[in-house]
Amino acid sequence: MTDFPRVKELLEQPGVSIGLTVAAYWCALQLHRRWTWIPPIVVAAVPIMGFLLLLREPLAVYNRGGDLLTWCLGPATVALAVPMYRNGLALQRWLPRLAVVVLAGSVAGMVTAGVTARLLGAPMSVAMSTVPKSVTTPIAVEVSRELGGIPQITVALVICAGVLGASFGPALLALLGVRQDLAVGAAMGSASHGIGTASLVRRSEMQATVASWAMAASGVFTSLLATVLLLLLHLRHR
Amino acid sequence: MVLLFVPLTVALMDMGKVISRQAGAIVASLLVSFLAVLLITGLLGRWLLSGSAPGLGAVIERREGGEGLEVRQ
Repeated sequence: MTDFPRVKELLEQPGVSIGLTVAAYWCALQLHRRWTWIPPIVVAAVPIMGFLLLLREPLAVYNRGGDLLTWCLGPATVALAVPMYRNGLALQRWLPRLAVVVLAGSVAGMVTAGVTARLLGAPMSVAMSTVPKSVTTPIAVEVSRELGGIPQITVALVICAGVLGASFGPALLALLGVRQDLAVGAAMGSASHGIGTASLVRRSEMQATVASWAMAASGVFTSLLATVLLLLLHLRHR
Repeated sequence: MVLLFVPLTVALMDMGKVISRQAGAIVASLLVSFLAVLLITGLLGRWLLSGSAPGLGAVIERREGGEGLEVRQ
């Protein structure tokens, strides 16, 4: 196997993995502009994965810079409050109906994930790990732990749900004839949390606003529903 | 903002080992549940939020007779 000591040495600098990520994302965006069906997040990640595999470098080396980008997610998520503040008045009237839509999505997501996993023979711990996969990672990990799930599986599923939504969500919704900003935002925030919301920022400010609201509401509903589920399981085993 | 999620997506390459034991059930559960949430929230949203602002792809036309505008989703 060919070795690339100089490249490996370079990759250990956080700036290089950040630069690599930005360059891969920029190329993915150019491809996405030409062929809109190409999901930029996947197209940006795959060459980096290939590069790491080729160099036989562990993920930890890339993450020296990658973690800095991930850290920026915190301030970027807080910044989503700005469009929410700007569009607050327009949204206020629709909040009760939006809450019903997001609650229905939370129930559907939790039930279908757990039941499908159980029907296909997964043990209870794995099934419980799939239950909170539609909400943002910090909430999902806590809910998974409370339900007796395996947090590592939950984290993987949360990211996959986000990537699926960011890549195919808007197209699938358009196929269903769902085009209103509020409906698209509610669906994307409920199904794909922060990654889905981020993918809407460049599309429409209103959609991103509703998706941020739906993401937060979905987190609250999932935590409450998990408590109910836990009580039901407890009563059943008594 | 999507750029900031790229490192998390790259991290999926290390999660294969965790998922591999129950891969079939986990992947099926992910896909079924993702589609269920998207379908239910999308269609329920289309129905419950039908009077809200039009979204991308809406067509705004002048009404017949030239009075006012009509929005078609």
